[in-house]
Amino acid sequence: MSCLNPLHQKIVPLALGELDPAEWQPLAEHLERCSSCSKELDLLADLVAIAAHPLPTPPPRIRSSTRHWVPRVAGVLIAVFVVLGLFDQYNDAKHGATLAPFADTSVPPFLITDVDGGDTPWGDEFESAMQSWDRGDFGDVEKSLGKFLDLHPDHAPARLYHGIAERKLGKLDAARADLRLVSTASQGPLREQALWNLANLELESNSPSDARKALDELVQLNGEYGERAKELEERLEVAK
Amino acid sequence: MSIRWGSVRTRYEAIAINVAAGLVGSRVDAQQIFDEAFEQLMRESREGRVNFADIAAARNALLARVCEIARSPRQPSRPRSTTGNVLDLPFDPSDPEIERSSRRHGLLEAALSELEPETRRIFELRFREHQTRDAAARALGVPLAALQPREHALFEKLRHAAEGGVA
Repeated sequence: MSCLNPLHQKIVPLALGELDPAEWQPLAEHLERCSSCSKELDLLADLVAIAAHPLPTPPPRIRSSTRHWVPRVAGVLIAVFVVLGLFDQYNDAKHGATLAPFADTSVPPFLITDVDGGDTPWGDEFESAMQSWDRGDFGDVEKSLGKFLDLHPDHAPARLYHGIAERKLGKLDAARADLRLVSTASQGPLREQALWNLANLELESNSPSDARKALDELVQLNGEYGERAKELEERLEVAK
Repeated sequence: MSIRWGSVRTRYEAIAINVAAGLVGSRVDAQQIFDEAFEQLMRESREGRVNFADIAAARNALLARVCEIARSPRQPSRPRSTTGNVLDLPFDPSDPEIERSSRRHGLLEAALSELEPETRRIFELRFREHQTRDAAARALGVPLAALQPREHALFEKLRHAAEGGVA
């Protein structure tokens, strides 16, 4: 049963970052005593965490009338999987949601000096397209960088941040394409940043073999992300 | 009780960042505030300076610390590098909470994918797009007063789903 204390109404605003700061203290004290509100906050914590990741396509349902032929068809399908070399993808899928907690979902701050944007003829334009980055308005960044990239499709920093913004918006296929492009066409920190984001995107997509490919590259590059990539690979190995 | 900090982070990082972002207005700063709060608490706990009865107590302390840091006078944000400010927290794959959390998320994601489009839109607007209740009501074309009961119904469905029922 829901708590009848008026503070119960403050849990959603708390979870969504809309709570008046003056209301925090009484709510904090209430949360320590009220198990109902504590459970409600945990539910909201799960929802906020899920919102940071894209929703997966719901699995197809097997109707009961089809169950009798499923085992026979399964044998054929396994053979097809092996022949087509799709076993890796099957292995990836079976890890299910367990890999998402391994993914680094943080967003790198935008540092214009790091990407040399200020020295290029269109540096101001790029900086202007990145204005909403620090506010975390990735929808706006995606749009403005999209326009910028229409004019300057080879601008690697713009492509990188565009990919990261798409990843934050849950547009994983588009993000993957951008990040792959930067990881293959760039060098140095941009390439590493793209590979790190790509690896973590693949973890969110439950594709450990693709994540490992990107992590292997980072380990080989032995740059700023080398150690972190190695550690993440070890964690994934332990979790197998 | 020994707190598994990997669980605390997995479960409460996103909500703590929301809380901090609400106070400082920037999600990048909010991430840094979370990192700082989390690092402080984890260190204090490992050194025995604080003790938590359970994960909910650690959650409350984490949110309190996030509020405290967010409301304290801070230097302007100075990013440490382009790599982000992620803690290298040793991850414990044997932690049962990780498995429970995955299972709960699976149930909730399944329930969310089966919601009616308008109800799902409420979730998208409020949780993913960080719209205020007012803005969400405008986007949906409903009066503000009509949104709260719909949110309540959404949470009821999802709570039921998280407990293993059908939304």
